[in-house]
Amino acid sequence: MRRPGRTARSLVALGPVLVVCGGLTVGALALMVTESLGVGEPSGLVNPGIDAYRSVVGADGFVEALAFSMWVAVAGTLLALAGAVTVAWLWTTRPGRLHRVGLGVLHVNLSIPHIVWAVALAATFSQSGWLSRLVVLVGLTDASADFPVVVRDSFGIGIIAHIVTKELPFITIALLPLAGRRAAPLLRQGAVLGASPMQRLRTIFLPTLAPALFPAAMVSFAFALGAFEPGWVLGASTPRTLAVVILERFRDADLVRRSEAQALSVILLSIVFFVAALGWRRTRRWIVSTS
Amino acid sequence: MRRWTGRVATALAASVLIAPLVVLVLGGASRAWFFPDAWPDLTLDGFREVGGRPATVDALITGAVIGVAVTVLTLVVAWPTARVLARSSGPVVGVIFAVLLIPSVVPQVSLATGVTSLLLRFGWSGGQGSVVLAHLVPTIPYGVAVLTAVFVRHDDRIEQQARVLGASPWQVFWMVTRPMVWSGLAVAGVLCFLVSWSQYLLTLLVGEGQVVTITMLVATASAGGNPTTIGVTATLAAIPAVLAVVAAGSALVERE
Repeated sequence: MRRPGRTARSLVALGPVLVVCGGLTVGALALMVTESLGVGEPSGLVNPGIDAYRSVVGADGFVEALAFSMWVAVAGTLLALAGAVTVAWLWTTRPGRLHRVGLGVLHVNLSIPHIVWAVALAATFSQSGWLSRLVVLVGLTDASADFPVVVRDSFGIGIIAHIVTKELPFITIALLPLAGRRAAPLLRQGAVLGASPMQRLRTIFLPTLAPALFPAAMVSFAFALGAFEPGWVLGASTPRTLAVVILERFRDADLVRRSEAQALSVILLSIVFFVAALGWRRTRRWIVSTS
Repeated sequence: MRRWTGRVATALAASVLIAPLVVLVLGGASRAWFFPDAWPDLTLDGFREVGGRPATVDALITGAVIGVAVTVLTLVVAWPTARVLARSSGPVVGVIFAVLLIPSVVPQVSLATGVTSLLLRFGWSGGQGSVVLAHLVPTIPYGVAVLTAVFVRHDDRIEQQARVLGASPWQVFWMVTRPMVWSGLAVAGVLCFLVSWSQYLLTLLVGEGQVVTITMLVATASAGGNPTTIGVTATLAAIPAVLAVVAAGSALVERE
């Protein structure tokens, strides 16, 4: 008699979260797909079908925008991952008093809104930015034009810098609990048994962190691929990130453009799910066995 | 030598994460900071002028009101869910966490356009209420995750003892549960507030430009290119975030 009552209470407890978060998210994704297919739009304005997909894929600059978005997302995520693993490794293998300060710095960085951070990076690393002024001060350059273009550049260095500096703290903080609780004692045992630092890193540290490493990497990749602010503030006018193109089309008064924006959103989402599925297939065994 | 290398690397990394924020504050505290001056003539005129504008004050208040509303709603909704998830296991829990994970793995711009379209269909866009509703999508997963971690370590037998001893449900909540979960609740609240406070895209699209928060003023200032205005608005947008982290850190230190 007690069990149904408890089940009912559980459903009542879970209901609001599933309705608000699940309902809005799933509803939003469903509408994104239907609007991209022109279904449910006012008759005559948008034809049902895959016209929007044909249009965006065939549009000038689509391939460049897609390639550019993938480049900044992959490079940014991989660099952030490498940096986060390095920080977690150093903090785990060489405990010190500075770590608490370092952790505070990571948390502060993580709390800064993306638009603020993008603006801050532009003010620091642009040709007329603070770093360029310091370089002039020490006599390495004479004018702002002598400083390398790393903001609004065609290689997306500014955008990648944004992704790395924002995602490195996120991934590091996700890794630290496992690094401290599980990896640290195992690393000490490995050292006692004579394993070299590289052996400890490859056979103990990375597998132990796997349950946190891969989900954090996926969240970071999804962010890097779909973030608007870095591309808008730190990106060049060409090539642009897909996120910037999507927003431009979505805000267009022409409903056809809006369908195209939704088609691009679906493409972006498909890439993330494809990469997530690949990542999950490759790492499931590690994650299940070590969590 | 190796120790020094590590320290230098740590200091360099910390500088990269902190220096841009210092540059913003300097920009806000400057007037006519021309190239190649590395240090500006410091003045608070920019903070007084830009910070005192009604538009800036309104944006700060709007962001704070939305942030508090989102935080309270998130915690109210996430609390019972977290309690259930903390003592459950099996495929249902996995499904619920999977649903909660969706907003984190969906590209931000895709989620924003989708949520905006959905709320437009219902005629719910363009107001603060609709922005609050939209912000719940990214905040609820954080709220549930943090509170579930809190309740996993929570010993509810102490609450049962209080009930046996005659405490009302409200007394149990206020005098037993609340003190036990306070630090975790504070962290969850701070996190939800920060996620809401930092939103730009969702606020811009769902608010249809009528709901102006400080992050939107930062974007406008960035497009305008005035270093003082950029510095002031960006600093104002960053201050509550930094304070919130410090407050959460203090709560945890007190707990320790």
